[in-house]
Amino acid sequence: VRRVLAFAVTRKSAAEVLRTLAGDGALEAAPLVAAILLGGSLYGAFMGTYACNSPERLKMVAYAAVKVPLLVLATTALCLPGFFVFNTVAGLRDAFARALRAILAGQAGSAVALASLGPLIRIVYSSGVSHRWALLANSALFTLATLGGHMVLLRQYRRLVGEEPRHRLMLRLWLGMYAFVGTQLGWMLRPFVGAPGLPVTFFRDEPFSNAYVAIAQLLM
Amino acid sequence: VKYLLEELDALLRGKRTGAADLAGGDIRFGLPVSLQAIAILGGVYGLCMGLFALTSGRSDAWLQVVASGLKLPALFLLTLLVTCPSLYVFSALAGSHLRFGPVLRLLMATLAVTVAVGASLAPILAFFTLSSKNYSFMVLLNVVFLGAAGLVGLLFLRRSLLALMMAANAPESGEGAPPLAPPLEPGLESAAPVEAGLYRSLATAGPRAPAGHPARRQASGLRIFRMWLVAYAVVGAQMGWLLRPFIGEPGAPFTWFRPRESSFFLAVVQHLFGFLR
Repeated sequence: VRRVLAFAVTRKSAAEVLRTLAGDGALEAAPLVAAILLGGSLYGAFMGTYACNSPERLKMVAYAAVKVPLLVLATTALCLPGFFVFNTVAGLRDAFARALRAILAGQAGSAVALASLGPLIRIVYSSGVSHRWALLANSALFTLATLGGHMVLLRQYRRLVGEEPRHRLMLRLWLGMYAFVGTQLGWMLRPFVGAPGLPVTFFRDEPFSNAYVAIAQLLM
Repeated sequence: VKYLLEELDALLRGKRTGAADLAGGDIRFGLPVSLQAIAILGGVYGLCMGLFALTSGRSDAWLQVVASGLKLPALFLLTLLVTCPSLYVFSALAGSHLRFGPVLRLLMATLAVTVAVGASLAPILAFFTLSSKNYSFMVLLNVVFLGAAGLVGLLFLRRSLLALMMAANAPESGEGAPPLAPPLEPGLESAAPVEAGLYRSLATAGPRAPAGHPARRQASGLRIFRMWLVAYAVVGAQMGWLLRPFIGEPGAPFTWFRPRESSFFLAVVQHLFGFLR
C-alpha cells in the first residue's frame, strides 16, 4: 500500500507525508495537495460503492472519487483570495505561505484520515444499511476525519499564533469562510452516495439551490 | 497593471502608512493609483454582484452585470465627492492640522483598501450568485461582504489617520492645544504608539494629558475618525439607495435606476424577514 501511495509527482513517500502531518518534518505544499487528492479520492471511491450492483452504479464510484477532493480544493480556491487579503491587511503577509501550508496540512490530515476510514464505510454498506443510514455513517466518518485534520491544523497554527497572536483571528476567519463556502459546495455536489433506484448522475437533475435557504426552510 | 498591483500591495501591507512614510504629514499613495484601484477592483466586485441577473435567463440580464460593474465604484467615489469638503472642514475645526491633499489621498487610499478586500471576496460572491435563486440571501450576503470590506477599510483609516495626525502635528508639539478641543472622554486617553497594529488595544495614559501631548493628538484623531465615519456611512447608505438596483430583483425588468422610495435600513430588515420566511 505504501508503494501505491508513494507519490510519483512529488517523490515523497506516504510515510514522509504522515511524518509531516504528525508535526516533525518540513511542510511542503505539493505533497500535501497530493495527499488531499489521493486520500480524498480513495475515500470517495469507497463512498460511491453503496448499492453497487450494476455497471451503471460503478459510475458513482468514479463520480464520488472526483467529488471529495474537488469539494476540498475548490472550497479552498474560492476562499483563498479573501484569506490572502485579510492576512495582508493584518500585517501577516510574510507568514502567509506558512499559514497556507498549515491549512493544507490540516486538509491533508483529514484526507488521509478519511482514506483510512474507507474500508470501514465499505463494511457498513456490506451490512445492508438503508440509504439514510449510509448517509449518516458517512457524515459521522467525515466528522471524525475533520476532527483529525483539525488537530493537525491547530498543531501547525500553534507555532504561528505563538509568534503573532493575530494569526488566531485569521484562523477563525478561515474556518468560518471555509465552512460557509464548503457547506454550499457540498450541497451543490450532491449526490455523494446516490440513492438506489435513481439514475446515476454527477449533479442532481434539478437547478442548483442554496443550502442555507434549504436549512432555513426546514427550520421555519 | 504591475505598478498598480505593487502599489496596492504595499498599501495593504501598511508600507505606505508607517510612521516613517508619513513623516512629512502626507501619504505617499497617489490619487491616480487609488482611482484605478477603485475603478478596477470595485468594478470586479460589481460585476460579480450583477451576475445574479444572469440566473433569471432574461435577454437583457447582461445590462445589469455591466450596470453593477459601473455603479459600485461610482457609489464609493460619489459618496467621497459629496462628503469630502465637509470631512475636511470638520477635521480642520477639530484641530487636525491636516492639509486637504493628504486628507483626500488618505480617504482615497482607504477606499482602495476597502474595494481590494471586497474584490478578494468576489470569487465567493460569484460562486453563491451563480448557485442561488434566493434574492434575499444574495442581498444579505452582499451586505455582509461589503460590511466586512468596510470594516477593514475603517480599521485601516483609523490607524492611518492617527499616524498621520501624529506626523502632521509633530513639529508643533508643545504648542497650545486646539482651541475647540473639549475635555477627553474616558477611554480615549491612549498613548500607545499608533503603529502598534490593527488589533492591538491602545494603552491608557492617565486621566488628562497636557496640551500637545501625543494622547491629545490621538484623542483628536479619534474624534475626527468618528465624525468621518458617521458622515460617510449616512451619505454612503443613501447614495447606495439612490444608485439601486445593484443585484436586480428577479422578475423585474432591467432599469438603470429605481424610483425613489423607502430607505436602506428598512430594506435590510425586510430582506431579513424575506430570507427567513
